[in-house]
Amino acid sequence: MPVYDRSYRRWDGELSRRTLRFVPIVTMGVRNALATKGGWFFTLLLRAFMVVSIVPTLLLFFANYALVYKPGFLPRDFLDFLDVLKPFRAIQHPLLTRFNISFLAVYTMLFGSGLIAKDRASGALPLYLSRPLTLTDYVLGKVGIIGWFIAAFTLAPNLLLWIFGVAADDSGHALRDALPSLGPIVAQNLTVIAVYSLTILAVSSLCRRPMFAGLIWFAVVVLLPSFTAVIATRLGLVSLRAIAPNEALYGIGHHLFDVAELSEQANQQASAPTQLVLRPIFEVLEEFGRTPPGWCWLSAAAWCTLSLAIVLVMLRRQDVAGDSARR
Amino acid sequence: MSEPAGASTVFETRGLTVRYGRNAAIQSLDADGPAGSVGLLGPNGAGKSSLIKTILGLLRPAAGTVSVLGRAVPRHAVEVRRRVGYMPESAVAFPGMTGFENVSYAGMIAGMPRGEARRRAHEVLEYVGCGEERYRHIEEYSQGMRQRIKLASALVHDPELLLLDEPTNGLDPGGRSEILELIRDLGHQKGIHVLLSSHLLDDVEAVCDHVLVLARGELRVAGPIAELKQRFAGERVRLTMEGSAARFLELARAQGMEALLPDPLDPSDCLVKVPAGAAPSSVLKLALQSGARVRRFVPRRASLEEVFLDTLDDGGAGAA
Repeated sequence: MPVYDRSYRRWDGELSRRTLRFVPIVTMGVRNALATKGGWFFTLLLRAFMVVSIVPTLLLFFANYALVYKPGFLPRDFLDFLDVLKPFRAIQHPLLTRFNISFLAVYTMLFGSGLIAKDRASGALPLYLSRPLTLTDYVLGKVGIIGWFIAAFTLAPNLLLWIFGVAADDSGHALRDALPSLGPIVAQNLTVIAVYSLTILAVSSLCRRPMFAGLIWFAVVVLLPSFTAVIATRLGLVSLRAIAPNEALYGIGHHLFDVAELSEQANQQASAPTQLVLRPIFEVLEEFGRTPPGWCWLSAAAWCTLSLAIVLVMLRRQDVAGDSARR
Repeated sequence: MSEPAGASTVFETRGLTVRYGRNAAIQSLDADGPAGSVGLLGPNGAGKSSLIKTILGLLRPAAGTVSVLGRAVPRHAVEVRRRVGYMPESAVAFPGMTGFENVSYAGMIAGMPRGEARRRAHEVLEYVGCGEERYRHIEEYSQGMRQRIKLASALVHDPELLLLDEPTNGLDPGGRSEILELIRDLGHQKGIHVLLSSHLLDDVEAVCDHVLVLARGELRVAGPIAELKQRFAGERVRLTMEGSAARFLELARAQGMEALLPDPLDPSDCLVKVPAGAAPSSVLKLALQSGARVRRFVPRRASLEEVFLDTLDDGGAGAA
């Protein structure tokens, strides 16, 4: 029978001196969030929601596939219609982000609301800060966790769609044609990631119960646009709409992709039936073009700065840092 | 038996003052933490936890300097925290994880590779006596099991210095003695320096060789426990007379000795504190002078509790 040594043994390994000390927080946080622990009903609901939320992405992939490969099982008329839409493939990216942001609010609420609130409730902050981590590492780790989920629903599908478009195009100048849209794709989605991550962390740091944090955040992101729209209409100040983070993000996307210019081209080049199809889509996108771009960027920057300030102030007020100890 | 390796002083503070707003938690503290197991004693609000947090670099001194394992804190706090393990006072844990995940995660954020952290987590969990329970969620644990998980988390990256803040809080007598046994083993057999903060004198006495006594943020006394017992409390002598000890008690008190009858129903049994600088035999001589017939004479060493109370009573007159 083997005899196991259960006494304490010294560890002769070398601790990593990496500068990216927040990486283990991100990897473990994502791993934990994916291992759903909310019972079978919640798990089923979440999985069903995930399936529904990838439908817009799948539809756009299918449209691109049909446009390039023209498979025989599709009706000729449909393929001809897709051919007409080809010059306007650039708007698929702001459209996809627009669709995905609708689902993103739910994911952000589910995965982000407890990130700091749970640590506050369980007093885990001293455990983090007694390790070779700084407050900045901790915040970066938490941003990384929620940022990973948001990127999975915004940046990742957009980049995959862009890569697919370039790879499948055999015109010889696909990369040259597609390159100008890469910058706006990355810029808009990184802005979405920054605003959503930091705002959810800010409300999470204000609460000890994830449910409250989630509800407050949902109110800010989903209800504030309606409120600001009413106020903006009453006062006749369109720029006020940019106060709501979602409105600002839509506006940023609109201006980055120059949807107004694309809309103009569409009206000039497309046939009358195609214009009929495109008009409602452009009308939806045009709605967000009314907010001045400067105000949209200012709003996004203000939300990020305010949220980061709230997170840092709340964390420094925690027990381990000492409420008013000189830092 | 292996003594902890490294320098003879594990941490030192010079003129250290730590403030919470206007209130000073620590006031001009000059203290040396020698190698080995050191107890940090003091009543609530004495500044014990503030000192530990300052050693970790979590609190910034308002004045003075702190050096831990030869590195200045908070300037090199991150470097110091790589070499230090901390077991906080409150029942804290990383939420939503099993006990095993808690310990391996603690190793990973300390800088261990994931595979190594998992392997090492099993080792230290085994050491602290956590069996199959390690796979249960931390929220389902008893207080005793949480304490073990906290100790394992502090040990997982094999620190040189272990900071333990009230490690036996909320434990039953059995669990308490097991945890103390582990800490004693770490400090005396495994070469890890230990700083144990507690208001339970028995805990410190069971584990530590040195003690720092704090009160109101000031150092009242510091030194080896055995020496302090000798120096501060002297020795007690228990005398059992044939017949009443009343005459001896009168004589002893007249000479300024502290003498009392521990059991009011037994007038033959008395307890006398040997005056500083005097030998226990001087009490025996006095008893014989009083004409009493001594049936039993038992010199008894002072407990740490008596040293502690004496130190607090005299307001630090004997601070080292």
